[in-house]
Amino acid sequence: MIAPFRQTFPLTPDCLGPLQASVRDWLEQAAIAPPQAFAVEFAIEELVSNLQRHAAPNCDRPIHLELTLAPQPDGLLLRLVDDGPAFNPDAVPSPQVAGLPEERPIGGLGLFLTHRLAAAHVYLRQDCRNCNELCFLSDRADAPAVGSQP
Amino acid sequence: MISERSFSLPMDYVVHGTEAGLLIVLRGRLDTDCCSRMADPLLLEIRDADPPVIFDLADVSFVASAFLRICLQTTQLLGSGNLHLRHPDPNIRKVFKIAGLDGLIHLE
Repeated sequence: MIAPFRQTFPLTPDCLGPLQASVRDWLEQAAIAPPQAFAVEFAIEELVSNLQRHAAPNCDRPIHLELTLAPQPDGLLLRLVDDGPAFNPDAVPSPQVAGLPEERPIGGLGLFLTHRLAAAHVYLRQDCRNCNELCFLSDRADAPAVGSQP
Repeated sequence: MISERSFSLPMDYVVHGTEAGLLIVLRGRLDTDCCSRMADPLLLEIRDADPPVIFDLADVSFVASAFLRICLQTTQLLGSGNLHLRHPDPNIRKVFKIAGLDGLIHLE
């Protein structure tokens, strides 16, 4: 099984591009199936861009993040830890996903979709840090372990 | 009529005025950064167009929620059913369905 992906980095306006490039390389090496790889990239994109938009402007010191992707027997665990202001994504109301276009507010879809693409998610506030964990399952219960050789 | 709007790689889009409607061919990764640069000029182009508008996604490998917002704004400008997404990747199709946008936008 491939070693976990671990990266610690400061939150900057342009940190996402290089991070996502590294993540894509790791997902390819780990032979993660396209639906799970897409979901993982989507989650990282939404969680980090959310911090760029909402946490950074409200924090008078640099924010640091730690991203871990850990293969599991039945899928993949994503853990993103940041030392920014407390933010519980579960406290955000779900967006309206039905009705006429003009009745639907713009925004709120990112976290909603991130959670819906994952099999499970949990938020913890611990040691003045936010910790978001998401679990992505392989398509088939009998699929080979993530990162295993064919 | 063909007009081109190009941005720094890996993103760009090309606008084709056709008899079937405005065809906008998108390419690459439509991530948050790309969509924030693209949204204003793209919506300006769409605002003056006669419906329908067609986004061709055959060469798009990834979308962020920012792209879904652009599609929702497009639908608010044009009215329900007047935006068509052509050739979406299965993963992209899935996020549009989860977001409930498949009822407003034609996924072809």
